[in-house]
Amino acid sequence: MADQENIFLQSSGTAEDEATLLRDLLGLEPIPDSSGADADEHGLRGPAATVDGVLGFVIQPNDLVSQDPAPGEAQAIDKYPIVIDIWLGRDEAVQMKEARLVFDRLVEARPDVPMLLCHDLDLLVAAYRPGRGVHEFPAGTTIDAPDADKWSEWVEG
Amino acid sequence: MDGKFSEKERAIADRLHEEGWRVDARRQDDSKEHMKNPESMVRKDPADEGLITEYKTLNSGESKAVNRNIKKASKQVPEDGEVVIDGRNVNLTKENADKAWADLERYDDTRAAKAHVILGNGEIVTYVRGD
Repeated sequence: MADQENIFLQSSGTAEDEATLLRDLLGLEPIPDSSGADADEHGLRGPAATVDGVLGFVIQPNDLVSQDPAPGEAQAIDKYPIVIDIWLGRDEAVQMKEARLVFDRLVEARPDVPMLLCHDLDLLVAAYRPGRGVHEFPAGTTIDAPDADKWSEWVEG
Repeated sequence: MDGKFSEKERAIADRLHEEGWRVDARRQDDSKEHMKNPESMVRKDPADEGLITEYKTLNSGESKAVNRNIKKASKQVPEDGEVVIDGRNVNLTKENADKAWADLERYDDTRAAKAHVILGNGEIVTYVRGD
């Protein structure tokens, strides 16, 4: 599958709640054909901000949480119950830029919600913690335990 | 079947081709906007009708990364579909691939009927659901 950008939210709302909030914030519309989607996957789309193209979003529960992490197996995303997947197309750099704009809009609009910006499920790009602001991670920082020294103080436990 | 592969997808297709498998890119279905849009059809021999197959390239060689990417890719394919996970860029070990699949089986987590994992040394290991 093409690379996607991911925003993980530490929110107590449901995926449907979050989809509604995102739709209203960014002026999105439902994806017309979501016939293949799971019951709690909510597809939205809207115009990209920096190029002529359509940005797609899927909002769903984060089912990538470690169910029983052994020591040294924690992931940065384990305490974030909602994920927003974002894609544009084949141009990865533009897609990442577009996702960053969405992340920044969310931080501004939802200052009480901790969130992470990731690339293609594996790489940590930025984290937001209420009261502390946004932190940028060095390129190549993974969400996996070997990089926990880089992200542990910026990830809500 | 007139789709196009990205650079990462092409690298995986080329590795499968070395196994003698025929790989065709599928055309993107824009009406679904990628919600379920697997990118290839793979036929392992001329008599094979082909299976819809999803590719993922790892950015981390940890077992959790293998686990995440198999789950994500598996949601894109039908019940009999397959996934290919490329761990060459991150020197993925067989130990980490084995652990990821064992954990998916242990928790009966989302996983395709078969997952082909390309290790750091280029070897392909195939895992079968329920084996």
